[in-house]
Amino acid sequence: MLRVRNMLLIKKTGFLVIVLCQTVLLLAGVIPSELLTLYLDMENIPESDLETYLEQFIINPLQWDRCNVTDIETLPLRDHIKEKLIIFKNRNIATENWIDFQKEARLKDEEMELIEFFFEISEKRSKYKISAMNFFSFKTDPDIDIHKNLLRGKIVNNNGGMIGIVAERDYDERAVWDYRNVCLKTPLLLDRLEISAASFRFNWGHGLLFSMNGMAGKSANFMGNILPRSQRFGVYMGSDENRYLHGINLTCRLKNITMYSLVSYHKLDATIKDSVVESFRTSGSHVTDAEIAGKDALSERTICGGVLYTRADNQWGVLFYQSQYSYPVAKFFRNSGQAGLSVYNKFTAGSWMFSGECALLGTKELAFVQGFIFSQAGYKVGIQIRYFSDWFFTPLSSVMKEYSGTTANERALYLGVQGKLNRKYRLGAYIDFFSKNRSMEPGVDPPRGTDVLISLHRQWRGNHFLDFRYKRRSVSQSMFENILKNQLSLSARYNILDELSVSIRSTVVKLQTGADKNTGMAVSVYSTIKSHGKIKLTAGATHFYSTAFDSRVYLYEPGTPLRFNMVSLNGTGYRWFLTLQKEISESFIWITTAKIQTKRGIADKHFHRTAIIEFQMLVDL
Amino acid sequence: MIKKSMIIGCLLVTTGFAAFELQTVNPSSIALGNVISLYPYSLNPAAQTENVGKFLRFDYSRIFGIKGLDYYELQAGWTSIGKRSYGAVLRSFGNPIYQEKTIVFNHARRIINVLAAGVSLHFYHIAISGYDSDGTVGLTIGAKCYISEQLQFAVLFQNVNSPSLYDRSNRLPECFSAGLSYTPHPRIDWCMELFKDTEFPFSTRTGVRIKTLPCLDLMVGAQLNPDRFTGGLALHWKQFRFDAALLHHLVLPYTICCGFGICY
Repeated sequence: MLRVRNMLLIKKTGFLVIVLCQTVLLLAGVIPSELLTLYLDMENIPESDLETYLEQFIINPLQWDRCNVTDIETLPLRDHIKEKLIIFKNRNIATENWIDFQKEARLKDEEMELIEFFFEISEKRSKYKISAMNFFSFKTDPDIDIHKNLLRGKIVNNNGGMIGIVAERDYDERAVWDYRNVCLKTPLLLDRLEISAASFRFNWGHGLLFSMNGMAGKSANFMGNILPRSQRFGVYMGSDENRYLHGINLTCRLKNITMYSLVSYHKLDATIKDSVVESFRTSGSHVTDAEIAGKDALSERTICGGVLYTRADNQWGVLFYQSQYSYPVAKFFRNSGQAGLSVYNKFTAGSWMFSGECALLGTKELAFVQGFIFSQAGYKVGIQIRYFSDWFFTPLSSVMKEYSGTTANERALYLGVQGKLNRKYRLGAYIDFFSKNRSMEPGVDPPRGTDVLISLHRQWRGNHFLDFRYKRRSVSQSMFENILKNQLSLSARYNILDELSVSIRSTVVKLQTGADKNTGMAVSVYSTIKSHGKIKLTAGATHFYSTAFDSRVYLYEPGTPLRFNMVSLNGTGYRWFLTLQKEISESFIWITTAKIQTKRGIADKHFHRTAIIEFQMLVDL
Repeated sequence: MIKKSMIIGCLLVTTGFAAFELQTVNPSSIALGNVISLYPYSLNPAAQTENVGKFLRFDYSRIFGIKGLDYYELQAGWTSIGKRSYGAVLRSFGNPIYQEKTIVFNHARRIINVLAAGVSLHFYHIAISGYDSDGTVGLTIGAKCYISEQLQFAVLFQNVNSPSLYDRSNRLPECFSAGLSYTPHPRIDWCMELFKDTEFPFSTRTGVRIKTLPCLDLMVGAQLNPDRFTGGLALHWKQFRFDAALLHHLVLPYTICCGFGICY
């Protein structure tokens, strides 16, 4: 009884604190998500990972003056936007403000809103820039309660120094801000030194050992899958409570050579049994007694050093790291520590671009990716091979893989093509042949399969568009468990006026597992109205039907910006959603989202109704 | 005997339809594969803005030819020069033992040249012999977008307020439909619609209207899940219009719908 009362008190106090912060906190525009290359099939990817994926681009934007064409190619943006940026980049025009940038790059207002999230320019501005975001949501299932709260703020000074904070409470957690984090970055010192401290992530090569983004799934953006992202440290203000480093890092740039080093001491969530690590807990949820007991139970000490040689667009690098854990992590590393070595390359020769990374863990485990891209007359063709030995595993790795899980055990060949058929049509496609090296079940062949994606994008002059995607996935797991999944997606938007648009999204899934056949389908229709008073209203509905959980449909739903609104739909039912965005002044945006879902499982008798209300405040001073 | 056959008839229907499942018998809609969101005189109030002046219309059908499953529909409406429309509909379905009655008031407006939106208020009333009668109110909203002279798009959300009968134990159908019509030739209209009742899987519907003569339209359509084939004709002379449609069911007998209207 006392515990319940205390919890209620904590929740009430927490709510008051959140509301108070809401009134104090003060960011920036809003992401028009339709211009992003969103992931199509997220079977193995949680929504939170997708949020983290976007967060890392936004929290660590590229410096326009310093980035190169490859960096632009790897962004999860629509091709037509990247094309404009690349043309502008190749013209080498210096810009000091976003107005000139938009004019020179010939970007539309909507596109510009998005670009400002992904890039930084050396804008002449006030000494400090303060940005903050406060998000919280209520849910009515089973009782009305605070569902989630996320608070994020940063102060950036003119010279590039910054300090950032993040705090989060997940559903049902007992502490108000169960997760808190800080990050620091110094301005550029002596024109060559960059130091950041507290929490951070590291982008190296193709992410075999370290990656800034918590995930790398196959997407329609095949260039983003094959090319590496820029090699750098990035401050961490994400909501993933485990996968980051905590300590200090140093980057030293000397003409063509860049040196990286880091020291990290980080407490991780883990399940420890008989003084041996049974599993890493990466959900970030601390609700049950077991989850709370596992919080910060394992300490990780990491040191790392690397050197990168850069000449024009070509890069060669080598990196060494070692991690030591407070308990043996036998299941994953076979002992209480892990040491690794990585060699990375990227070089161009005419229309050809090569890039790859090879990593060695201990003396036995090996992984490598190597790919090349050929560009000619607006068409790009790419191939990548990847190999992960059976027990290759690093906690901070993020590389395109088919099989998720703690051990790698995979080999694959990935081929992609994209091109502009004419002024109106763009075509993209990939095929991925994947297989496990060996089956862990005796007497069973290693699972293997094929993924095929074909996408066609049609753009009209009035910014209307139509997007078709077909995906076929065939997996052979064992003699009686072959999976064939066909998925067709459509997305279209028609701008009735400059201020009024109507959009439709639909996905059909047909799944065959052995002799079982299941289907799923969802359709979403919504409209967006913008008023001169800087109010933007989006309202719509989604209807869905799926005969089984396996044939569930993932559909993007407009909602609170910076949140990834990809909903998983199974059973039968519908959802209503409404987002109201009000720009109170140039630097203050208030967003409210309400969602209602009525649903029942196919075998259930009754419908179940849930509601979520979200509030988000973005301030940019 | 007659009473027993009617009860059997009702049961036959209720295996296929919940209460107020059948919401229109407009012959043109039926003939075009049950497309309900795109054309006037059907369920989308926004489409009524395409009418000019006043209209009065009566439709009748005997569902699957079964005696006692008679459906009557009387519609009246007015559309102003400014493209504001007002209308009322009376519907009656059933027999002395099982009766569904609906009164509908609708209003729609052409907000801008390329967009019309409308709303309908439905008063549903059900009476079953030997049981208490019950009634409820349902709200339907619809919109139609005139993308070009050839291409039109419409959406319809029926019973968005989740009405139910008999102490929430019987939910009325909450349906969504999105339709697209295309006119590749001045004499040919093609339409397609995606229909979803919350309880059931998606159903795809499609139809073609061919204007064979200045006063005669021929229509043919089909729907999938459940599979139905439809066909019909529309005769129009001056302000008068006569429609008839035939619906084919894989097991049950054919349903014939016919209607007569005047627009002045």
